[in-house]
Amino acid sequence: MVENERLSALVDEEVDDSELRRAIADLSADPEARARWGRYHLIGSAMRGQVPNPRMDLSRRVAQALETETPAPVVPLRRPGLSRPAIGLAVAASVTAVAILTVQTLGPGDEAPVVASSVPAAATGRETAEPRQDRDRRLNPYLINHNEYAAASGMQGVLPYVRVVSHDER
Amino acid sequence: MMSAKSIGLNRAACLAAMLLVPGWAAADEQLENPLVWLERMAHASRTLDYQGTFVYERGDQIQTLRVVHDAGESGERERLITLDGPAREVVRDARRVTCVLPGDGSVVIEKGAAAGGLSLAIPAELDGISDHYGIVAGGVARIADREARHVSLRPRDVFRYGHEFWVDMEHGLLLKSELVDASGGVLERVMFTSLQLLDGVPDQLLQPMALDDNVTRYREGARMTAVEPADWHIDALPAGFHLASRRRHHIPTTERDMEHLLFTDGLASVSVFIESHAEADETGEGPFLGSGRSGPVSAFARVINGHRVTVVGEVPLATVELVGASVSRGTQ
Repeated sequence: MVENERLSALVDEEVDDSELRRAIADLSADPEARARWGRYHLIGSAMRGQVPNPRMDLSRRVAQALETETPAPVVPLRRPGLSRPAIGLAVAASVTAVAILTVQTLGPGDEAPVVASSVPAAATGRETAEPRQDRDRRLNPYLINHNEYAAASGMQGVLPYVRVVSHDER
Repeated sequence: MMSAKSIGLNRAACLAAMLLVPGWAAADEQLENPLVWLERMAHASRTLDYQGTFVYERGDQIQTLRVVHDAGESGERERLITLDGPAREVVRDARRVTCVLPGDGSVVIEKGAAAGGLSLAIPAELDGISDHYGIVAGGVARIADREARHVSLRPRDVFRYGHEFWVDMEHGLLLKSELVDASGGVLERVMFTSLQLLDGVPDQLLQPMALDDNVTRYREGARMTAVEPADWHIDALPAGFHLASRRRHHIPTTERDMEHLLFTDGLASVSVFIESHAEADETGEGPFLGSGRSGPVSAFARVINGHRVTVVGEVPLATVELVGASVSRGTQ
């Protein structure tokens, strides 16, 4: 069994490495504890104002992020003979759905309730958009590969590819 | 609630109906079984020729796309093209995926098809699905001027999202699909607005759009290979998730290889990427670390023994964090 207190600490990321390993070992062996951990996680998220909400005005914040984004990733595409990393980055940054609507980073040090519905998106989006955009772009290669393989192994038909080809208009 | 055994029997009956009975109407009794609808859906999306237009909605973003699908005797071919905004498209067949992405500079990406290395036993997956989702057949709705059966899949724990499917009653194609979080919010929605079944697909419908000379062609995939299991362990997968593929990718943005493990419960999927960790790559950017989510996608990344582990998937944040936290290296 995993004690509630340790589960809670795990959710709050207050454990050191050895504690983490021990807690994980317990979680592996105890489905009930795993489920409980998931519930604590939801509660913790809710307390931090991170409750999943599809209407959380993400697109407005993304639009703001795009306004502040430098054109650097796109420019190299106009010139031939680029190094592969630059092209790859430009492709990943500018052409896929995941490039635009990638993960909204809520890192451990980022305690601001950025998606709380009571906080106007404009107030939080502007101050955090640019660094997030930079960090989020780093996830693109992962998301592209993930979606391609998910397409091959899932039963959702075109959806994973739709995620790749679709994008935000604004 | 159905027992696993009765599901297995019903599924067998369903399969028999699918394979032996000409015309779906003959299997009336089976049509109330939601698993039958899922079977039909999984089967139809791969075995029918069709073209259609659908919308993809995520948050308050919306996109219209056209799809052409050729079941083909020599393997599936499919073309997806956006109908608003820049004309982006993905054309794929059994061997290759081509992304054509015009813009300031047109780009063509050609990759070895991921599908080539995988064969999926859908019936086996369906048994697993009913262990982790409560599956309920709902009413009949009208989608894209067609009759569709509503099937709900509600997760039995907090490690996956729910799905709402509307399945074409005549042909079994998925006409509408929603990904739903624990509070009932729709994270992602796909819905056909028109659909036409075809008998054979003319080649020209599957040709990528013509591009001018100002195109950057970009290929990858040659170095993507299956790998032997390494000494990495993932100790706390949520129940029902199993390894679907294990590959090594070459990532052009970093010129490095990374190992990619894909886990699925038959519906939801989670990818774990493991690579050597660098504080900043050639572009000067630091890697993504920590956790976050946007719409249907959650991500988590941490550094272990000089390696970076990145977990992404269309699952709740708790799932990628649980999986990511449980990755370890070496013997147990």
